[in-house]
Parts: sequence; C-alpha cells; structure tokens
Amino acid sequence: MQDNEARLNITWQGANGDLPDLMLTDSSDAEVKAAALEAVRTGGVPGIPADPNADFRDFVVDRFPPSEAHPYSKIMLRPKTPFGGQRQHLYVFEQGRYPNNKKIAEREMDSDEAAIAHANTIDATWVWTAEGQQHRTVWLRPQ
Amino acid sequence: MIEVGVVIEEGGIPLHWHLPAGRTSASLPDSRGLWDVFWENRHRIVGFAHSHPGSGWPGPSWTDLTTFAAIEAALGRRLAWWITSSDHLIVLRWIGPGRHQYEEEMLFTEPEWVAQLRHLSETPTRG
Repeated sequence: MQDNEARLNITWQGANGDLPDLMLTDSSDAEVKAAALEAVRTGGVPGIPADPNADFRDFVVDRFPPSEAHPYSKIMLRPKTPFGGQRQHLYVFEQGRYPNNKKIAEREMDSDEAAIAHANTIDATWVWTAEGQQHRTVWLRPQ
Repeated sequence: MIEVGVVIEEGGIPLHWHLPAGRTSASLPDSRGLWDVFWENRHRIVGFAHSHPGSGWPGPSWTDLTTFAAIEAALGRRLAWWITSSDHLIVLRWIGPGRHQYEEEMLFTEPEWVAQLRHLSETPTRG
C-alpha cells in the first residue's frame, strides 16, 4: 500500500468486511459512501452479502492513520449515533390562502431536510416555507 | 438537565451508560465509542434508551429516527428505542414499510433503569 492509500471497512446488515480495492486517503466522505454503496449492492465486499437496497445516507466516515495495530490507513463506514437535536414544528397545508386551506399534517421536525422527507412520504410537493424562527410552515400542492 | 443514554441488554439490564463529552440538554453527539458498544454486543443487546428534556409524553426527533434506522441497518436487526421525559416513558419499534416508520408505545410500567437514567440526566456534570 502507498502512503496515500487506505483500506475501507464497511459494516452493513450485521456483517463487516473490507473493500478489496484501496481508497485514496483524501477521498471525500461522498466518494467513500459511493464506493461502498456500489460494492455492497453488487456483492463486491467479501463477508457482506449483496444487498441491492443498501443505503449509507445516515452513515458516517471515520478515518484512522497507520498504527501498531494496523500499519496502514483505515477508513471505516459506520452508522451515525447522535440523538436529540432541536426540533421545529411543521405544519403542512393544502395550497391556498391561509387560513382557509386545510391543514394536512402537523408534527415536530428537525430541519428543512426532514420536512421535505416527510412531505415526500405524504405524496406532496414542497413549494415554499416561511414563518417565524420557532415555527415553520410548509405549503404543498398536489403532484 | 442533560441528555443521557443507556444500552440495554437481554433481561432488561443496563449494559453501558452513555455520557459522552459534548452532550447537552437537548442532544447526544455522534459517538464512535457508542457504535463500538452496539457492534461488540450486537448479539445480546435489545435496545437503547435516552432522555429528553421536560415533562410529558416525549417524542422522537428526526435525528432520533434516522439514527435508529442507521444503527439497525448496520446491525442487521431491530431494536427497542426508549425515550424518557422527567415523568413519562415511551418505546419505539420499527413497523415499516418505510425506513423511518416507527410506532410509539406509551409505557405505564417503567423498568428499574429508568430511575437511574433520570437521575443521571439531572446531574449537572458533563461526561
């Protein structure tokens, strides 16, 4: 292995294995996840059964320099583990003029990303957000 | 109040109290060490509990739900996810089919470790 190469270790569905191909140590997190995704989906990681539904969006990349235990750089892909976090109150309305339009959903959300994800689950399209620092309103229209 | 977590093993026994540096009144940070506990004990753990601030029925944040799903995907098995407030307890379990579809159950009988979790949450010192 060259100094600028690293072994990528992946954990997925109770199995753990190393990607046969080496990664560059300066690979971005996105590049690491993309390489892992392609390999796991196609069964390219010894020890991890192929899984076409593999998804590493909520995984994080840890990087370890060479050590006595492993004389080469290691990159490890594992699930994230934070809990909690600031929440926002999300209101979802039908398209129309507030307050005459119908409220579709109301729940606690962490972020715009979470609100968009939730909007997708109720088969609606994100149009616009607004309103205050503590509360967020999401206006939706049918797809 | 400061958030605390605990890994629970079979028999409802606390296996690992999670008091990481950087925890706040509203969050527990990402932790490689916590993942190591999950992985090394993956055959005997049944779930994880963490405390939320305030009283009343707690609910999961989006961060909670995405973390539940990520850990279960890596372990290849489903777990129970308890959340406490100062006076209430719920547990969430995946029901699917969506990756973040977890069902909340309100619990009226609390395991013994809940009192310790609340006590540690009320301790002002940080990990």
